[in-house]
Amino acid sequence: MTKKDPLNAPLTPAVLHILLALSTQERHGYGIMKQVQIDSDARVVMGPGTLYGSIGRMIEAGLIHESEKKIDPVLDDERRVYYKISGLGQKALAAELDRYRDVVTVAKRLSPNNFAYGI
Amino acid sequence: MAYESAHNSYRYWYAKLLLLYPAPYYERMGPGMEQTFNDLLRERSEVGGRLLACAVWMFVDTFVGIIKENIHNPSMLRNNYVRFLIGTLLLLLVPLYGNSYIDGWNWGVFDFVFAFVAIYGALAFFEFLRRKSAGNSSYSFGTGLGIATSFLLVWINAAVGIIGNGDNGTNLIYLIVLFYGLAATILVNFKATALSRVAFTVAAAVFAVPLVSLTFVYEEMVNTPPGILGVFVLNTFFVVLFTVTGFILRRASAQR
Repeated sequence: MTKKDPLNAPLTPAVLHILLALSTQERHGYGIMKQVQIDSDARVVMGPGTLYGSIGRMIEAGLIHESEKKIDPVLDDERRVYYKISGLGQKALAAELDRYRDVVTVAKRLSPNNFAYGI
Repeated sequence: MAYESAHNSYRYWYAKLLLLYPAPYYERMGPGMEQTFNDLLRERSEVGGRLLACAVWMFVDTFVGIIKENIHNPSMLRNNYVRFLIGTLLLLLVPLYGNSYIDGWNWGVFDFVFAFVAIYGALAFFEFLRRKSAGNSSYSFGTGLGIATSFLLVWINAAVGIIGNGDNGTNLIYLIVLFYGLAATILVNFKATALSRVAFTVAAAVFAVPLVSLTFVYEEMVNTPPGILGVFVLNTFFVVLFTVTGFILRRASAQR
């Protein structure tokens, strides 16, 4: 399978939301899942299989990396692996958000009579 | 107390499920996945929600992930035919043990041969198609689902029969449909677009089997478990699986 250039290829919704969740702070798996749920208004819901599958591919692509293991005092005393966005991940996220902004700009240029979404 | 007991049970089986991931993936992600599973169950129990529904959803989601990761794992490319052969032979040790130590378990030579051909045939055919997938995961997933559904249909018919009892001749119609599916798969040279159509026609043919059987063995269908309704429910299960296979393979052809 050919590897996609993360800066030029569109990100999947799961990857985009994981990067958004990690853009503010490092998080463990459950923390990422809850943040994604909040950010997307519960429209994006991932199970552990989907979440960690995406995390594994993102680590391989260099978008995120594992941080130190530590305890989350809110949950319990188990040590958890935290994930942190990398420099490449920040660039990929910025590039994806630029793509979204470009699309919205194009949509705004359309005549209101032709465009139904009223942006 | 009941929640805690159920929670521990689900966590135990989830840990077992995770072992199906490729070893490198399991070592890296397994502990985190188990913790996340545990966290979600705890969250659900705190709000008084149904643990079983939550656990089932996570099991299904994880099982799909397991299939995907095993397809993508490069180590699968090395001699899988031999791995599957060894695995099948090990699996057949179970009925061998049953024959020796469990009352009522009486497999004959034909039963062992049939089981070996069915299990290894399905696995080997899946590996053959997976190597043709050229990294197209939808193709691998679709063909895998089609093969697994066919295997299940053959196995259930061989064991107890879907229509009437196991001796009912109309159950052979299912085998005829599956032979058609296999022949068509070979004739279309395993191409995704055509395979998708094969899957849809197999689904339609499987749907028709109990309808045809009603005209020949109505009395037996009424009087023998699972009854007419049960036959149609079970049949619909297979129709749905073959139909889903068709849609996944259609998606695979779009990705190529």
